[in-house]
Amino acid sequence: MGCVEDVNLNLGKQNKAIVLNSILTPDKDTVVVWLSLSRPVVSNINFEPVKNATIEFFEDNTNIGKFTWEDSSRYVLPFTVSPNKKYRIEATVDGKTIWGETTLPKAIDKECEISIHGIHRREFQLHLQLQKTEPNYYWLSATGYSGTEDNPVHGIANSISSDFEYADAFNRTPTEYYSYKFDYMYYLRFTNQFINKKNVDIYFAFETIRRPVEVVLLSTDYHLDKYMKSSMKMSEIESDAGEEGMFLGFNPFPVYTNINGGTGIFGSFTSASKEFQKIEDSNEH
Amino acid sequence: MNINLKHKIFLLFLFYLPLLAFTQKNVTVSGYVIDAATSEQLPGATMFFAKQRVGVSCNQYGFYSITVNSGKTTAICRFVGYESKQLLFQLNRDTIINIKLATNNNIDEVEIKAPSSEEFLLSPTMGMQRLSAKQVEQIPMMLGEPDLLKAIQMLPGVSFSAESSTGFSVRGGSPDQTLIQLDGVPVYNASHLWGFMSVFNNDAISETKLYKGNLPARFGGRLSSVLDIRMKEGNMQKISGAFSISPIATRFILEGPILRNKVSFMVSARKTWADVILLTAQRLYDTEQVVTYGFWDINAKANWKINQNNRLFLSFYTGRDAFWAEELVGIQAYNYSKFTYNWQNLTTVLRWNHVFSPTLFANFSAYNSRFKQEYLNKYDEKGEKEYKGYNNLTDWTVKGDFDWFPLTNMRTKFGFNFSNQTFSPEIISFKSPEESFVLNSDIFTQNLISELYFESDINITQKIKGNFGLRGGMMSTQGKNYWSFRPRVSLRYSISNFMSGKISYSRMTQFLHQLKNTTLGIPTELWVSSTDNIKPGTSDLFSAGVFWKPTTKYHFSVETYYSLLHNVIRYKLGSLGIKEQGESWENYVVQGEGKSYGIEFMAEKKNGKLTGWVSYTLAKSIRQFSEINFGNPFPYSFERRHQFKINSNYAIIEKVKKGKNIHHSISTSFVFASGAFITIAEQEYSGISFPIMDEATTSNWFENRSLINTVNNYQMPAFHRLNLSYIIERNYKSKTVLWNFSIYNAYNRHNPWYYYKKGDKLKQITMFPIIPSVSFTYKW
Repeated sequence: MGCVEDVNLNLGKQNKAIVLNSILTPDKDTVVVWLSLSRPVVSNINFEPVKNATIEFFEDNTNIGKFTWEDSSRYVLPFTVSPNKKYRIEATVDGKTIWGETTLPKAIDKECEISIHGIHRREFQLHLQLQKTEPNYYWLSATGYSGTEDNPVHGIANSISSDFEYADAFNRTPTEYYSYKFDYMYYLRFTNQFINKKNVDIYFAFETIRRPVEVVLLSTDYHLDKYMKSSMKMSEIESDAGEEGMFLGFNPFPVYTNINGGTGIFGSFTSASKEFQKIEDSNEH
Repeated sequence: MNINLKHKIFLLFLFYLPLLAFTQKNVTVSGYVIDAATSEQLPGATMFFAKQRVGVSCNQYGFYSITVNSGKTTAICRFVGYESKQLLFQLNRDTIINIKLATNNNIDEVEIKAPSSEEFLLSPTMGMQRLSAKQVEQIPMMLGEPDLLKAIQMLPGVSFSAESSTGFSVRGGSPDQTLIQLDGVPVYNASHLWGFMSVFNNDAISETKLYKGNLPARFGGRLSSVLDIRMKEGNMQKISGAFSISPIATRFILEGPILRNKVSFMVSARKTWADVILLTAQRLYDTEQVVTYGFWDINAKANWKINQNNRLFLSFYTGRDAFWAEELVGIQAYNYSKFTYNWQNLTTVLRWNHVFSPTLFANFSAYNSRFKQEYLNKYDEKGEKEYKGYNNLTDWTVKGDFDWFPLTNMRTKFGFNFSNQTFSPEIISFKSPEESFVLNSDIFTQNLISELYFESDINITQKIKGNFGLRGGMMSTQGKNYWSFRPRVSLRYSISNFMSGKISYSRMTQFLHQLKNTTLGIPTELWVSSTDNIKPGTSDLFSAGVFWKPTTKYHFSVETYYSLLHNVIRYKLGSLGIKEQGESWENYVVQGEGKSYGIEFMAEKKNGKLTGWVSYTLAKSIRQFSEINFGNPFPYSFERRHQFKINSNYAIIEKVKKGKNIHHSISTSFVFASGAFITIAEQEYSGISFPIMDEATTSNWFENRSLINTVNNYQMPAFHRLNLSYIIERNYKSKTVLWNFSIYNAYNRHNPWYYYKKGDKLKQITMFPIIPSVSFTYKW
C-alpha cells in the first residue's frame, strides 16, 4: 500500500564528531588507533582523517607512551597488551580530549578445547570448562578460504549453525543447513550468565569454506561485546529498512560507544583457536 | 496518618453534619431513565425540577435521585438525541419514577431554555468529551471501518503518532497513561492489525467518554486521562441486529430480550478478511512458504433486571490477532519451520447494581482482565522442538462504587477496589527432546492494590459548584509498600446562564508502565509493574477553561492545561541493541520527568443539518532523563505543536419516498498537525572491522555506522490529510440499509512514515496514499 520516494532533508549540519576506533588483543605487538571525523549521513565525501592528534596510552594508570601518525587516519604504538589489565586511551584534537577505557579479558585458551565431532565429520565441538565468576562475553566463529584455487580469498564464515540453546537470539534465523535448527550470522554469541562454572559442549557447523579452516572463540570485554552486538543489530535493521516487513516497527537506535567526548570503540578481546588442515569426511562434496 | 489529614477529615465531617440534618424534611424522587424503544439505561440524562430550580443527572447506570420539597411540581427529563419529556408530580413522600425517552428523529432538535446540570456548562467536570457510536460511524475512516480510537484522535488535546495508528497521547501523556476501560474493566492492548485498528467494535459500543482535564476521584491507576467505553446493554424489547462488510473486515451484532423487559443479551463479533485473502493468493501460486495474518473479536453482554432495586450484568470481551509463517523447504522434514506471533485480550466482568435506598445506589463489580502476547518458533511438525517467548498480564479486581444523594445540592460518590495484578514479562522457554529451559521466570511480579476514594459535588453558592475528592491506598510489590494520597479538586463559576469558567487540579499515581520501542501502539510493547527499584509514576494536572453555550446548537470552549509527570520510565538509549536475553527489563530502563502544557480551542455544532466541530491545539510536551540526551529535555514523541482539526457531517438529502426515509450525508475530516519528532541519524562515521574479519571479504561490511547521539532529534514535515465519505441511509419500517463510500487521504498527501538511507540517497516511506473504499451495513 505504501510508496517510497527520494527526499532531501538537509541533515548533518551539526558539528562533526571525533571518531576513535581501536581494538586491543594480546596477539599483536602493536596497538593501532584510527582517528577520523563523522560526515553527513547522505554524503559522497570520504571520512576526514584526523592527523594532528596527540594520543596517549595508559596501562593500569601508567603512561606507556604516545602514538605516532602513520598514514591516513591510522596511529600506531609498538606495545603488547596483557590479559586482565586495564587500558586507557586519550586523544587530544585541537584542545579537545576524548578518551576510553577497557580491561582485557583473561586468557581463555586453557579453558576450551575445540575438536571435530559428529557422524558427518563436519560438525565441530567446543568444550568449555568455565571457571570464571565475572560476566564473560563469547563470540564463536570460523575462517577459511573462498574464491578459486588460483585466487583464494580469506574470509569469515557467513553463518554458524547450532542448536546451542543458550546462544543469543539477536542474529538468529531458522537454518537452511544440515540438521541444525538455527543459523547465526557470522558469529554465535553467548555469555556465561546461565552456564557459569559448568562444563559446556557446543556442537556447531558452518558454511563450507575451503580448507584449511580455523575455528575461533573470542572472549571480549563488555564494551567490544556491546559494540559488536549493537553494530550487527543496527546493520540488520538498516539493510532491511526498505523491506515491507520493516514498515511497522522501524526504529533506529545508536551503536554502543565507550568513547567519552566522541564516538567509536575502545575494546579488547582474547581468543583461542584451532586450525583444521584436513577434515576426514567421505560424504563431503 | 498525619495530623493534617486527621484535621481535614474532621472538618469534612463537621461540614457534612448540618447538611445531613436537613435530609428528613424533603421527599426524594429516584428511578431510572431508559430508552423507550430498547429499555437501555441512559447515563447522563438529566432531570430538572422547574419550581425548585434544581436538577440532577443520571449516573452511568441511568439512575437518578434528587431530594426536593414536597408538593405539586413539574420536571423536565432530557437527553441528547432524545425527545424531552415534561412530567407533572404531586410529591408527598419518597417516590420512584422510571422515565422512558424516545429518540428524536427531528434534526432541528427542540431548544429547551431551562437550565440543566449538563456537563458542558454547569458541571465542575471539565475536559470531558463524549462520543456516541453514531458520531464515530460518521467520521470517515480508512477502508470504511469505523474506529473509536481514531475518532478520539480528532478531538482537541489528543495527539496521534504515525499515520492511521491507534496509538494516541492525551495532553502530552504517554499512551499507557490513558486508562482505557470497557464497561469499567481496563483493556491493556487496544489495537488490532499491528496498531492500525482499534480492538473496539463500534457496533457493540453505546457511548464513550474521554476525561482529559480533571480526573474525578473514582478514576485511578493512570497519569493523564481516562477513556471510558460503555458497551450496549442489549435491547429489552425486541430482537434487533446489524451486519456490516468493509474491505478489511466483516462484523455483526445481535441483541434482544431473553425475557421481555427482564433479561436481555447482546453479542457482536468481527473478523478480518486479511487471512482469507492472503491464504487464497498463496494457494493459487502454490508457494512453499505460507504467511498469513488475521484478527477477530467478540463482545457479549447479558443483563438481568431482577427487580427495581437489583440488576445483574455479565460482560465479556475477547479479541485475538495472529500472524504465522510456515515453511517446508525441499523433501527433508527437518527443514520445517513455523513462526507464530499472537496477542489476545480477554475481559470478563460481573456487575451487580443495587439500590439500597432512594438516595443510595451501589454497583459492585468483580472482573478479570488479561493480556497475553506470545511468539513461537516450531522446528518440526510434531512440536518436539520449539522456542517460545511470552508476556502476560493478569488483573483480578473486586470493587464497589456508591452514589449517595443526601441533599438536593449535593451528590457523593465513594468506593473501594482491591486488585491482584500479575506480570510475566519476557518469559523465554526452549524445549527439545534433549533439553528444556525457561529464562526470566524469576522476574514474575505480583502487585496487590487496595484503594479507597471519595468525591462530592457541592453547590457552594448559586454560582459556584465544586467537586472535591480524594483517592488513596497502597500498592504492595516485592515486599515493598507504596502509599499514595491523591486529591482532586474542580470548581465551576457560572459567569452567566450561557457561560461558565472552570479550574481543576488532579494528582494521579500509576503502578504499571508500558515499555515501548515504537510509538505505534503495536502490541510488541511490554507491560511491566512498579517494583522495589522502579517507583510508581505520579502526575499533577492543572487545567482551566471557559465554556460558552449561546444556544443548544453551539458549544464553544477554551481550555488550558499544565501537567507535570514524575517517575515516568523508558528504555535507555540503544537498549534494543545490547539487551541480554534472560536479563530483567529493569536493567535497561531509566526513570525521569515530563512536562506538558497547552491551550485548546473548540467550536462544536451539536444539531441541525450541519454538525461537527473545529478545534485548534497549541501544545508542548517534553521528557527529561538523566541518562538520555545528556540529561537535557527533549520533545516527546507525540508532541505536535500545532493541531488543527475539522470534523463535519452535512445532511444533503432528507426525504421520504415510497414509505422509505432516505438520508444522504457527506462527512469530512481534516487534520493539520506539526510534524512528529523522530530519532534519525543525521551523521555517520567510520567503523572498525570485528575480530577475525580483518582480512576477510566482509571487511567493509561495517564500514559506516549511523551516528545517533540524541532521541527525537528531527521534526518531520507537517502532517495533513483530508478524508471524505458519502453516506446513503435508507430506512424502511425497522430496517436500515447503509452504504458508505469513502476516500482516505483525498488529495493523496505523502505524509512521511519514516526515512532510511539507501546508498547515498535518503528515502521516505509513505504508508497510506489515497485509498477509496466502500462499506455496507444492514440493520434490522
